[in-house]
Amino acid sequence: MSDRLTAIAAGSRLPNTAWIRASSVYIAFAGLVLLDLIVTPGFRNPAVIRSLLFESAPLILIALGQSLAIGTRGIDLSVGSVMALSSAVIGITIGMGQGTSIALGIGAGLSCGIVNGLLIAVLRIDPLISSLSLLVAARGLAQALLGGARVDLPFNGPISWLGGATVSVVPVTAVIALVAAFLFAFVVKRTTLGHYAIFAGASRTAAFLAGQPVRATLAFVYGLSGLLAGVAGLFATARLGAADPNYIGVQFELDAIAAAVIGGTPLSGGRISTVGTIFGVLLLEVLDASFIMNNISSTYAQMLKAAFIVGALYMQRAGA
Amino acid sequence: MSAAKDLAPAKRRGFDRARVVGLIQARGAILVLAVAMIAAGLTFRDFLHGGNLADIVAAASFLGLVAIGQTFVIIMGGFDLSVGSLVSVGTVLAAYAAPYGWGAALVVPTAAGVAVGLIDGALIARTRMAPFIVTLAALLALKGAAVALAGESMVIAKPGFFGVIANGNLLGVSNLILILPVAFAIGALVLNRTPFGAAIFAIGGNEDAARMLGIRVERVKVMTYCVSGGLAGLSGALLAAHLSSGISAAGNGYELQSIAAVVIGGVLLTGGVGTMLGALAGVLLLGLINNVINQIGSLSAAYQGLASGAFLLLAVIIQAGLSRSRRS
Repeated sequence: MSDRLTAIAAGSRLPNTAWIRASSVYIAFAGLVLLDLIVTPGFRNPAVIRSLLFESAPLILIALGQSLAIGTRGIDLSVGSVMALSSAVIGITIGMGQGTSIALGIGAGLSCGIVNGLLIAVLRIDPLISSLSLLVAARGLAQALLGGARVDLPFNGPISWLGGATVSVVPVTAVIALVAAFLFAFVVKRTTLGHYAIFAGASRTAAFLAGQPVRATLAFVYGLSGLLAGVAGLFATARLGAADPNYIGVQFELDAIAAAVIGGTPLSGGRISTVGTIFGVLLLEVLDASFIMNNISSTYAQMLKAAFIVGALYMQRAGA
Repeated sequence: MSAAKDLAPAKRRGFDRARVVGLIQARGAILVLAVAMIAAGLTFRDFLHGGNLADIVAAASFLGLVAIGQTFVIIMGGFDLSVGSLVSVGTVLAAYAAPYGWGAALVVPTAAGVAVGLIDGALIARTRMAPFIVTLAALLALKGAAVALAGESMVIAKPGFFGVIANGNLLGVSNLILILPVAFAIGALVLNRTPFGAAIFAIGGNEDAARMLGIRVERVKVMTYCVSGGLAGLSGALLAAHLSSGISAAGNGYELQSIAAVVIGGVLLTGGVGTMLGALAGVLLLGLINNVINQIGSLSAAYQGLASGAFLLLAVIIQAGLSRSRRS
């Protein structure tokens, strides 16, 4: 409590750091891209950009859901496993036609999100705990559905189209993700629902006292996160050309949290930065690519990611 | 604060409801474990075989050590996600240290774990960053470190006595089976009979109140993460001794499994409530699930995740219900 007051006092004395903090993700992204343009061979190649954006599309979707959950002072650890579940459902229902299969896959993600939302809103279980349980359960269900095996998908039809189609160098999946981000930002900034979500994060008690439908809002937030994870699972499956419960979405929840936090959505809730989250995702993806393209093991990229997360969090703390 | 509130209405009813609920919360996992064992024993002829039960306990000992540390941390109201990666790093460091003798192979990973716990704990206690994020960053960094140090795996050429520690036996009982109850007994002693344990409960119950009581909250937090880290490192060393190699993916998923085991065992993730015996029951229950699924030939290992996930979800829902009925 007193720490927070001193931090606020310190922040007001140093307005310059606040500016750097607010734009740190963009500075880091620009710096990294600049470095890559100079150092990394072949980074300018459109194929590289295309592949980067293909990798980013599903992560952007789940990072959006994540930033909304974090904005309400919660968290959604289940997103990576929900992606796997969506992928597994697509895998087992592919015989019913690709359209049905896509709908069922996304529906599975939405159902997971609704279950998570009900656990949090109705049973009042801490989001960390409920989504952790779903992380284990949804991955397990995905593996059980496919018997732990990988199912290859047909080379034609809408799923394979999603996995390869581009508008010049920009993949269709990335376009969809950006449109989703635009809608997301609109809902968060311009609608009552978005305001409810942010108020619930800023002060749960005040939101309750003001008579806002806090629980319904939370149910919506986690339902949306599940829905986005379902679509992300579809994108990842399409890109891979196969439904693979052991591979799809593994540790994506960590990247999504990292992207949201690095992008300037504080874990203490009450604020959401959509553009920051997108650049957080791009930063992580470019970071991975930079290491791989320079023939340095991506394990070092992982260590650097960890440093970025702690750094971002430390700066948020200074400005909290 | 809540304890006084709990007892008052219960007494009026002449039925100590809070106590019954508390008992279910603390001992439910043991009951479930007993029922599951009887059910499995009736269903599978080989289940209650001494050898099979010994296998379950031995296989659970690695996760068990990690779960002891996790129990401390969670009762304190914290969270340690770094333990899985620490087990991986522990196996790798043990493989590096093994040529210098079994002592080094045990001490180096444990010390490394304590050092990581020190950094985690210091960041959490001093800068007040969320334990979840700090240990998440440690998870990523350590996973990278394990791969950077060992690639996929490295073999311990001459394990010698180091191998005997994990694979030998004492008076006909496998060492791994002895390690688990001994470690949990020590853990229970520390938790229930020392000032350190009392401080952990106090911080988990109400951090501000603990501070006002004069407990050095920051120091206890750092120490607790050190204990958790050290036990994870030790678990890695034993795993390396058991497998005669350091494997960079060895501890993958231990962070979630240990949390799952502890939560199933009745330790509340909100802090302040939990028992070592419950945590042990949780660990054994997860081990039993895996064992039973392996016995059902037609079910593949793919169902292990589903079963433990379902158990965890059920435990969390029941705990939430119990906590609420305790409060009302």
